[in-house]
Amino acid sequence: MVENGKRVIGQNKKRMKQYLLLLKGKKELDYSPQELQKRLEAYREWVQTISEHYVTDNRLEQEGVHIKSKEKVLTDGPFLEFKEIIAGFIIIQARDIEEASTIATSSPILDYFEIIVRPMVMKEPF
Amino acid sequence: MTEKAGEPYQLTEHLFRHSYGKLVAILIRYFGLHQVEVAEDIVQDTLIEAMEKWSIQGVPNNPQGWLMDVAKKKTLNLLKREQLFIQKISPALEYTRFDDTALEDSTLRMIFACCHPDLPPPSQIALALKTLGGLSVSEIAQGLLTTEDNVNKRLYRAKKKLKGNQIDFSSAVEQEKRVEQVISTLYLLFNEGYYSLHGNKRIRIDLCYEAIRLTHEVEASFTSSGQVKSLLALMYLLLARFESRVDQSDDLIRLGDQDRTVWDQQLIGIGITYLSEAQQLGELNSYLLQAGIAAEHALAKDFKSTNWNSVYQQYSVLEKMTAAYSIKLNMCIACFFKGNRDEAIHSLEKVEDEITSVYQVSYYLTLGTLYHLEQVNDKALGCLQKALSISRHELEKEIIQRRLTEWDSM
Repeated sequence: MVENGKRVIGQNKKRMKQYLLLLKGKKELDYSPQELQKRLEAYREWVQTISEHYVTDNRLEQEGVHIKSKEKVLTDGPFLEFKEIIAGFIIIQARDIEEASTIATSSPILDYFEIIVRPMVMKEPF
Repeated sequence: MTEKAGEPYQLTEHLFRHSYGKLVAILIRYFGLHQVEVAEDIVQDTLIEAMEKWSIQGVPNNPQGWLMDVAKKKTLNLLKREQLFIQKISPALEYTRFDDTALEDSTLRMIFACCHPDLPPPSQIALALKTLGGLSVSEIAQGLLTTEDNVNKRLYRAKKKLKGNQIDFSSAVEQEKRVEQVISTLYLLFNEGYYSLHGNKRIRIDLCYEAIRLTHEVEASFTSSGQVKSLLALMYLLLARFESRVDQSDDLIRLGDQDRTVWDQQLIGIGITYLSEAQQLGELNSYLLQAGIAAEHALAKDFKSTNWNSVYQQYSVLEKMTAAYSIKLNMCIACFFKGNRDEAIHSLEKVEDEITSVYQVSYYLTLGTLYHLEQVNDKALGCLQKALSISRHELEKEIIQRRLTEWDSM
């Protein structure tokens, strides 16, 4: 039975794929302190609820370098249109893109950012 | 840092909002009042950073300390960039401990600045809510039943005034003199939240708690002030009835209709404690009397068994102190319920021509109710009609109309 259980988990893991959720949008500056705290709490609660899918996440600072080519380097952002700024990312694992989208859709972060869901190519031993 | 996988660290309910006020207060002390916006920007920035970092890393064990450190770091960075300030402020800040003592002191200074008599009361309230309470413009607008535009204007005026004035905090004498003005602003703030059935309930009760919190800050430094303790007593005793409260114009007379089982006994207990502390200081003031009256209501089993004699006595003294018509109306009501019905109605009838327009609706509602209780129905209905024709508030009109229909069918 134990062996059986292990195999099931193993199979599950094999079937899970990782997805990159890109958070796109501008950094909002005019939220009230109360709203900021609510936003923080909502996000942390959500991460708890998706703990079996959660892999990692981070936010990105606004400044950075945009290297277009060897000759063309744009620095000291915000250098792009606000709309295009990537504010952060979350990596989750899910069975398929549908499940990944469902998870992304359940995120309170959608109130503030657009989310782009992209499957990651998994590194596998040959 | 707490583990992400573990239970999320519970933040205290208004941590961000209260920290906002505290940090702004402490920064303004070093920037000066003319730099309110700079301080506000730094603190807002700090909270955004907290929101982002804590989302990812979890909440630090000492959230408030974290916020203070980051705000201090941001301030130093800014000052380093601004050559002009470096020599003047930076050294002082470098050696400043952002600890609790500094906090209390700064918050108190900021309360005094916000409640400066040079600012018109609506601006005082808006400024206190924004810089001390950490409420957003839209939350303030909802709480005060006005437009965001209007709130912005009030804030603008207030900040402009602050820029022009150097307010002296250093002298203790000056502070003592100003306590009275400060607590009258805090009382106004409380009333804004308490007396209205309109608007967002959550925000309104927040205004009340904010007023109480700030009054506590004042109390911490003026422990022997009878006025401050009396005001705290009054606020707690009123807040205990928040769930069943009605319009101010009609508060006392409709106490009979209130559901006393929803009154918060714990808040009543705190209120009574402050009241007895205030009474021991032996200093008579209008808050003490109002708190005394609120206590009589809070402690009475029901409307009938209220100690109306005591309520009447306290209103009488209060009326001599303030000569306000609202007090006079309530005094007549108390007079009626303590048994002197004719006397009460007669003294109300006598002042009909003197009542200023602000109190006319209350006046006719009160007199109408007393007539109604005496079963002089035509006069009762006449009063309601008058009240209805004067009232400018939709909700108030509705209430009057409902009562009119009710009495008419009797």
